[in-house]
Amino acid sequence: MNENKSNHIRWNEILYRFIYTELLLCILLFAGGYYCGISAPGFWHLLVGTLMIAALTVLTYTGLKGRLFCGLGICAVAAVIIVFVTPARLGVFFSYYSSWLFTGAAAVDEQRLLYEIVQTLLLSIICYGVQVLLECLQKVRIIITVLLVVALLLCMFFRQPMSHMGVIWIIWYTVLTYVEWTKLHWKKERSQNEKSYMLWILPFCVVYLIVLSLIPIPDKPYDWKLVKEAYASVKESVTALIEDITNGDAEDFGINFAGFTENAKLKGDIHDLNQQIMTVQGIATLKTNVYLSGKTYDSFDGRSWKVRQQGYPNERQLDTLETLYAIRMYEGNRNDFAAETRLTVRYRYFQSAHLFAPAKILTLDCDKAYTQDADLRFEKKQSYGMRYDLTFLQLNLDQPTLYEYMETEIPENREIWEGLTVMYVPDRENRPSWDELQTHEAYVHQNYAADTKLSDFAMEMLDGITEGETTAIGKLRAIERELSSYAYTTTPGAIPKNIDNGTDFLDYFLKSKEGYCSYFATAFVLLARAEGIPARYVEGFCVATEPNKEISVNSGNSHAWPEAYIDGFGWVPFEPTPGYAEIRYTPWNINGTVYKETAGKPYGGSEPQHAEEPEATEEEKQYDAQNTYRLFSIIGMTLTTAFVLLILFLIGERLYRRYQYRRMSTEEQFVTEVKRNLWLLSKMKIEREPFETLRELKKRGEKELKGLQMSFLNDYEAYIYGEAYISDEMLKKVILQQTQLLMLHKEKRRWHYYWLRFIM
Amino acid sequence: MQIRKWILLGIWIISLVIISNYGGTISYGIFFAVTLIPLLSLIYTLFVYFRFRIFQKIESRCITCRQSVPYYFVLQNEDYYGFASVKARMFKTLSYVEDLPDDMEYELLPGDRYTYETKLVCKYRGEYEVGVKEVIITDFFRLFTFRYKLMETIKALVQPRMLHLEELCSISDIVASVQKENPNADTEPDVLVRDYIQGDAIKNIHWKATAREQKLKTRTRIGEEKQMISLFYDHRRYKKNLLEYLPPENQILETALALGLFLAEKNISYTMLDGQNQSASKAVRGLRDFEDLYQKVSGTQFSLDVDDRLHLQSVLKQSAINHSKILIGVLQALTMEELVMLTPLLNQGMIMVIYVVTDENIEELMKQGNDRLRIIAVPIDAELKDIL
Repeated sequence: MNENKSNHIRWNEILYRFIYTELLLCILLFAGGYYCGISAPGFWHLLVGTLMIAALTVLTYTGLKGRLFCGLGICAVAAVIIVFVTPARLGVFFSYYSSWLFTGAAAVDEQRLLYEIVQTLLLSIICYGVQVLLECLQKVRIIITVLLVVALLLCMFFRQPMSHMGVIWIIWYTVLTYVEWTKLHWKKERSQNEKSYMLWILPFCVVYLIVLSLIPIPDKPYDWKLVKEAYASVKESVTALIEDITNGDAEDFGINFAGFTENAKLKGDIHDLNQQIMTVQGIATLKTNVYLSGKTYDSFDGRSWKVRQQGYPNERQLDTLETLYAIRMYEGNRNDFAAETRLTVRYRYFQSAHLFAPAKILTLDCDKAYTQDADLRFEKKQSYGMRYDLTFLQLNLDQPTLYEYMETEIPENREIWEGLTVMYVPDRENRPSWDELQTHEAYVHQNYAADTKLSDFAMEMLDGITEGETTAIGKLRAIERELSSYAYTTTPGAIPKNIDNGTDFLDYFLKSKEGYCSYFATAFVLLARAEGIPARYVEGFCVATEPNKEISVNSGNSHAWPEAYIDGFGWVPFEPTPGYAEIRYTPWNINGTVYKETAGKPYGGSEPQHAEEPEATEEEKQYDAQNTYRLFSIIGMTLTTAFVLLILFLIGERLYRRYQYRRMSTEEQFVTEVKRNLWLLSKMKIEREPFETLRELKKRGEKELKGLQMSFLNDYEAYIYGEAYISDEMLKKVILQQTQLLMLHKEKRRWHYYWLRFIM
Repeated sequence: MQIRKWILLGIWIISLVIISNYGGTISYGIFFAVTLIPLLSLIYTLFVYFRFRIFQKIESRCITCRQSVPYYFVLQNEDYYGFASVKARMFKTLSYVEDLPDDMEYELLPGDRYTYETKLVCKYRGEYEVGVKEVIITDFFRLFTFRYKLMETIKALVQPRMLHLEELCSISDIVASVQKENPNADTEPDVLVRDYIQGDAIKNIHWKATAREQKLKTRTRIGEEKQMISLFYDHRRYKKNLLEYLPPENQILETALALGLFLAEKNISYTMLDGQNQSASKAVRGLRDFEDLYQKVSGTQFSLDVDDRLHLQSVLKQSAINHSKILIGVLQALTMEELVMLTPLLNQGMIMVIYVVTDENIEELMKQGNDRLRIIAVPIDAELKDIL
């Protein structure tokens, strides 16, 4: 049986050596083959290598007979080679081979494989020798494994290419080394020879190797898209919840400042705040900056705007259709005038029941909204996280021909009108008729063109402004020009208390010639109405947008502007506030338009394009990477510094305590150790109770910590009551019992033990 | 092992950082390699769990408390891969295995078989599991362990031990007085005799006195012969947890049996009273009767529902008490109310010895004792020879 066992062990050793040598060879071939002149190791290389290793293993482990047979086999192969390949050719081959190997000369193509096979044979012999050495010197093996891992990491950091299998073989070798090292340092009953052990664990390791080899490896770093999306989603939800909790019942939050007010009050001086209200994101076809209207007003009482009149049903829809119709009826290039585009609005740090949207909405993807008068509202206040998408008609207000067209009379074509209503109003019952459009026009004139009584001063000024202008557009543009020449200020001072009607306000403003957007918009509306042109006051946000980018809308973006009604065209916005004309009148890139007319759609042919995130340029990527690296570096350095300082402090503190301890007398050391023991006992929940004697504590402690001697308490008691003189033996005893206490504690609560050792 | 897990976690986190910044074989290779390790470990432990077999056996299922019983178990690997670490953990609260250190890890390669022949000792009476309790498998990375309870455990039926006492130190004086008066004692006490009168029962003839005086003598009966000693013990279970109730109950039974065996060996008659069932009370007049008593006491069913006071009342009401001079009780708890219940009997001249099996401090109770009432504390895990 012993003989069987020893044979068993011997076979294990043979297999062990064979497998590990083969592994080393694979690492060399696949990871370092390029440096050994083997560009693409394949089947022949592995076969030759394996045979060589097998032969060497047999030669090592077999007796005389085995070696003889093996030797004969090798000689036979050599003889065959020599017979078929004449010595002369063999000599030539080896001379070419040596010059290829040593001088780096180019290989003869037909012989390249042979060179590599010879190379593999040499490598196999080297690997065998290395393996023999590593079996004797475990530590060297660990060092080599560490070096291999370091080499891998360096290749990764310096982006040096390495073959897939080369990496896998190195990783596998590392894992096997770890497993073997674990086994060698693992005390087990009846532990076996580590070579046998490794062989019998190998099946699982081979499965591991196979799975590792088969997993597809991406070339790019992982982008964590899912995680980022999940994180963004969670963050949105949490922020929305917090906003709801903190501002649940607040008034329409965040809109009572900087010009946008729930009751459109002109408040005198305003204070600018820079809180994020919402974000807007357009797509590639977005050409203009966006004015998001929130609320429209029709009546001004000298200090504030109000909505006095009952709104017209579907007023906003009618306005959009009217403009669409007008554009559709244009016989020239409609692309110059208008384009459809898409916008996404996300509410952030505010609450509102108003739905902020551009003027000419075509579609609105939000089922919580409804139309109230000329505005859109939500049934309930919405806050952080509210999102809606819409398509709208953006007008090229910078285009002079548009205004010229507005001045012309637009012919009637009911068919086109009905076609438009069918296209843009899915609900048949809500489709407005041509007559309704006319009724709407009359309504607008009635409610938005109320005669504004001007003072003589104002009348004279108005006459001067509109002198020479005969058309409504001309007059409106003249008023706009005049007002935009005034001064913009956020601190115009309080409006005098005696001003309580539009006439007085207009006088006041035209004299002061300064104010902010609300003032200018109000003045424009009043002056327009004085000219008999319907006009209204609108509050909302003006946003300087960029295509495909999500733009933050802050409280400072709140704005007020006027809109005037042009017969046959609909409501047209104007911008009398100084400094804002550039935002309103954005030049379009006409050549780059994406709008196309398609059959069946009189206006608006292209589907709005979905926003695509543009690829970051290389510079941007590098910049981002540098920034990230810098940030990580700063954080890393800070943490490292803090850690090092902490370690130094702890070391210093320890050394100082040790120094102090050495300077103590035996008695002081004894007392210190006893106190430490008592402290340890308290950590083990054996604390000295009030009025409990040391003797009682000892008895209780020995009972609870079965088998542990605490005779140091007797010595301590004797010492503090003046009976005993502290000897070195007593000190040693207390230290010994401290060790025993710690060992006992270690058995019960290992991690707590480590913590106690750390702080002791 | 915990440290290795933390290190693995740390490396995994680092690999996450690496794959976030670098693509390619090396970074992903490291990441997948580290991620697959727990999976491989799980697969391996599952393989070992399903394939590992342990066999254990004891010579006899019926065991006497604190007596060794041959026990052996076998660990074997019949598979084609190695078991890196297998640990067999024993039941050690109520029993222990001699010469077998706990928490030994075994490495089993294919074909390995380890047989351990040793002895098992049960500490308490009752029916409970002994031998191997659970098996702990560790993977070859020494990262994760898998612990599972053995499905087929050995259940032993343990009977209380019979402790032979040479003397009862705790009540030696009382025993001595009993022995003097014992009618079954070797030296017969003096009896009143008279001359035989025609018609006297043959069984009343005192043959020794007759032999001595060479004429027939008859015993003069003065009242009935009294059984000197009554024994009883607590049937109540005070705790619900097996590990909490078994030791004191075992100690109660061993105390009662030790006392009973001692008295039986000294030919002192006594009655073992049963508070729940009067008819189950057993009179013992010698070792032959004691064997029956032992079986009865071994089969005692302790119960949570037993009322202490009612039980004691029921014991005190039994007729055997009236024939007893000495009452010995083994209880798990003794209250002042119960002491009060004993007072009438004390006043009648009865001697009482109450053994209280408890680890609590009953010094206050013990102070209630006097020359007729003795209260003796018996710690639960104490050696009875030292106490009794």
